[in-house]
Amino acid sequence: MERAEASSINRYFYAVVLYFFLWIILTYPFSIQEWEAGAAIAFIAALLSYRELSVSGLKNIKRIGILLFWYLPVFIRELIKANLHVAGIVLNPKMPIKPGFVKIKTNLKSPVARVWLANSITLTPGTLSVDIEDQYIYIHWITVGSTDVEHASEEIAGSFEKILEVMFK
Amino acid sequence: MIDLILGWTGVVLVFIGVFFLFLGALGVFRLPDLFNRLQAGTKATTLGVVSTTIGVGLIAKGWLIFSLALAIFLLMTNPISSHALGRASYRAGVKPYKGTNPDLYAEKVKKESDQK
Repeated sequence: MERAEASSINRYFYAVVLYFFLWIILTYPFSIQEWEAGAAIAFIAALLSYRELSVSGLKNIKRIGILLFWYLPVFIRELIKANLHVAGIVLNPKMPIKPGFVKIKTNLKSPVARVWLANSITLTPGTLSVDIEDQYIYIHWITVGSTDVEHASEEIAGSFEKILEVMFK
Repeated sequence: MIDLILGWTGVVLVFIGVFFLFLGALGVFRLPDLFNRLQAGTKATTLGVVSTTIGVGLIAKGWLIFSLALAIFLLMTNPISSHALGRASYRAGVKPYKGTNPDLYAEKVKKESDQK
């Protein structure tokens, strides 16, 4: 699994930006004094932890943009659909379930992208990702539609995989 | 005027959240096995809690920015915890409901335990 690492200085500044932004949010009624202290602390904290925080550095800021404006609307729509689906099953006296564990295949290369995909799958209608092994994700599906790997991949992961492919290019 | 609209939107969001939280609890009560219950629990609590939190933020506007941050953290961590629960309990030997078909995950777990 290749990982395109950014330079240390790049990763360091990404950590500074992220910590400073988090500080601003958590000390909400804005004041200049808070910001000064926050900047100082962000520079020190980033020095201690930038190695563990990210591999691709400032490129992540572009990803957060895609995340907010493209991923999030799709995600919210799927989350609401998932909840209506659960509501339909739970409120039906007969409980129409047909559970099963299926396996899907993903083309995403980076480990972080796979984690995002698995997380997105958990919150889409009727699916819960149980385990991940290289290219394959094992999924508990509450109403099994197809047991074929290709077909199930398209049905479960299709919409998110396209977005994540662009996001983690 | 704007305050009034935001306040009522908040109230509506809180009610939607409470409704889905109730459905989640009902799902945990009614569904047959751990994995199905986990599904109902995860989805309903995610939307329920996020919707309730943002609703509270809209009612008490000083808290809006905190409630949004809280919602983002919940969205990111909730699926991970349910994945961990599902995986650990399958491997600890919790049997799925007898109608579960197919069970492709069983093959993988068996293969791994044979290797050890």
